[in-house]
Amino acid sequence: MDEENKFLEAYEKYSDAIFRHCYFRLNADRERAKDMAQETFLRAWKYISEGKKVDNIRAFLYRVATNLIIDHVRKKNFFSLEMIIEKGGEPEMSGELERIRNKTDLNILLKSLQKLKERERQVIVLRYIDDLSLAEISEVTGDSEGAIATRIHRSVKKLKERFGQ
Amino acid sequence: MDNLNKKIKKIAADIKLLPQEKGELKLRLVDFMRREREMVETRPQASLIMFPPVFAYLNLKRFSLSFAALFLVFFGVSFAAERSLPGDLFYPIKTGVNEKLAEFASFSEFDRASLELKLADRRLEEIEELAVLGRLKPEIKADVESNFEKHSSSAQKRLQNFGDSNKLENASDISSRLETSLTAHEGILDELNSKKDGGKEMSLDSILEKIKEDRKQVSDRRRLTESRISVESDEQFSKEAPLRHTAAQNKISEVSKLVSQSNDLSLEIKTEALSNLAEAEKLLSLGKTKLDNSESGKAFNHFQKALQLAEKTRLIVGAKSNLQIEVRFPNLEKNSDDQENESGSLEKSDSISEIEPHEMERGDTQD
Repeated sequence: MDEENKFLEAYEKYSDAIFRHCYFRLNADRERAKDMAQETFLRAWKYISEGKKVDNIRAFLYRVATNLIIDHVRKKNFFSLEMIIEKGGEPEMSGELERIRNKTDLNILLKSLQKLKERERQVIVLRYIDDLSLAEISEVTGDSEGAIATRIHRSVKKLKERFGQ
Repeated sequence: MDNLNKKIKKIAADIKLLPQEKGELKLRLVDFMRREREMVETRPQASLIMFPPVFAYLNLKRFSLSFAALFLVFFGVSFAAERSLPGDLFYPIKTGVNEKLAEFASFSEFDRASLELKLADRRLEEIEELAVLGRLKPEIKADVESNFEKHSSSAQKRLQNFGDSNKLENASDISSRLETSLTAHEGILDELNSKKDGGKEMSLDSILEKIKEDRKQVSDRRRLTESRISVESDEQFSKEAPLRHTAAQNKISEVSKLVSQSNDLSLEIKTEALSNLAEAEKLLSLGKTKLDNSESGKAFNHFQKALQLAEKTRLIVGAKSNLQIEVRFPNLEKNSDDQENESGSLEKSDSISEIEPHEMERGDTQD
């Protein structure tokens, strides 16, 4: 029961972050992001309940989410950003003016992210949205820190061009 | 890059789960965790048998055939042992190997308490099966009774520890399950004890006496826990109560399905089962009302009672299909021990007044 309580604490702490990660990786498909976030925690618990040790629960959750997203993307069951926006799959936000401003920026960000390759999008989301360190991104993706740093550098350059900085 | 970083962070910060979404996902997760736990508890322990470590150091290709054969022997023996009864050839493997490994694999205090409860339950099931088969010899009965007492005492001690360390949800769970189990077995053994075998009654008096004594103690402990939960701050149980609601709802569904699929139940037993399930649904509804009024502790108690009642019903139905006997269980007190007056405080229960004063903590005043 202690393991269960600890895991539920991790859910309270990281569920928003994992959902956010899935949201940006899945082109703002909110429903799919929710499903993916849920699946992440179920799979993570299954792993832990089998007695396997997890040193860094945060990195582990991102790793599980990443693998699920990769599987999903490979199946190409994947809506375009335009379809999501047309269907009205927009985030809930507070504050009218802030909402309008953020909505516009969000759309730009989402469009910019969509134009990146999957692996570029992955590192940008992990670094700038999820705030993971290079070492943690390395643990999640299995790539070396050097390769990740290079990929981030290239992706940021592309993002700046499209995001207009 | 810093500006870009800040900008992206600011945009992304608004993207999160709504409170309701977060709650719903959590309920599904908790339900999943509970089902996983129940699967592990009811699965034959064969999977816990581990190979002697020496094989890890040998060349598996060379020894693969004998290795596989040995594995099959261990697996088969362990699996067969699970269904064995005292006096059978494999019974020492059931208690000395399988159950010992399960003990080894129980890491938390709650897991250990659950295991002791399960083992106490098992010993009583064994006595019942032996009695039905006419194989309950005095020396075997004495041995199994002694083991039952050991596990029951251990479960009760852990239950007390939960109470002392304020782990009230654990105390509530273990006390309810133990009380339900003891009540069920008391009913079954009472029924078996009243049957005549060649003109001679089966001598189950001593074990019945012990069960009744344990049931009373556990029942007192359960009621004390419930009164403590009722006066606990709503914050502690605002998260636990919905989870217990889900567990109770799932149990009611499971048992409803069992009742509808059981073709050999008498009309009387089926009526009692359906009536119990309807009562459990009422308790759920009462609990929901309490939850809506932010009385999470009281809601938790109602949900726990609904869960207990559904479990009791499952045991009634199980007694018929497993042992071919029909029992009427002694009534678990339904709501008589938590009647509330207009202001919402509890009336004093007689059994609580029998508990040692030092067990009542600050804030447990019943007036």
